[in-house]
Amino acid sequence: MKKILFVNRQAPFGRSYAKESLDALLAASAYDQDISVLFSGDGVFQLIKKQQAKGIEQKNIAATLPALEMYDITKIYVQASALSERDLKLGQLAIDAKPLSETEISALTQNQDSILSF
Amino acid sequence: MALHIINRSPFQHSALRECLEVISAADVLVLIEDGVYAASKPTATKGKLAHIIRSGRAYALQEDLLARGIEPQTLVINMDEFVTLCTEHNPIQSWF
Repeated sequence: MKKILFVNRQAPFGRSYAKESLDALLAASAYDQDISVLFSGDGVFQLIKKQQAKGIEQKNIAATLPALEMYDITKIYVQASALSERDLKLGQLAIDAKPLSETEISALTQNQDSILSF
Repeated sequence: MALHIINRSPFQHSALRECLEVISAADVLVLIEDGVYAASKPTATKGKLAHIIRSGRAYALQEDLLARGIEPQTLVINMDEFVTLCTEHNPIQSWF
């Protein structure tokens, strides 16, 4: 079993990274690997619960995120400083994500076999 | 009066900062797509952007705000009003 970290650094709708990351995550979950997911930088915007993307003809990324748990992906992390820089609170997020400091993120990163960046 | 359109996140790109460096006193600013992240408090309450917002010259596109769950400090416009603004201003400069 390999340790794989998915790093999400992009906002949800301007580009297709968020959706592609989610597709890759759900696919990877079928291979019984040790998967972690980190939302950092603008990636934390993907987690905002109150998304209504119908007007721009896209699907709410946040509405899909609760599916992660159904696929046994439970190691979900968020960069604490990225939230506070953007004036976001954990209560505004669509899923439970464990806030990490930069030191903790660095330790998480060191500990992986592979890192997939989105 | 020029109209400036910004479609990138202020946290990841220099588009907004570079626009604010050269924007003129009567110019109007429109935030669209990922640019609407600048309409929320952390960016909108600081410096020159805060001043432009206070003088009623900053707009953000409603559809993009709603999609991203952002509470704007700017004025809010729909697509038709955006088109009207474009017809009322010249030149139009896009920052991306």
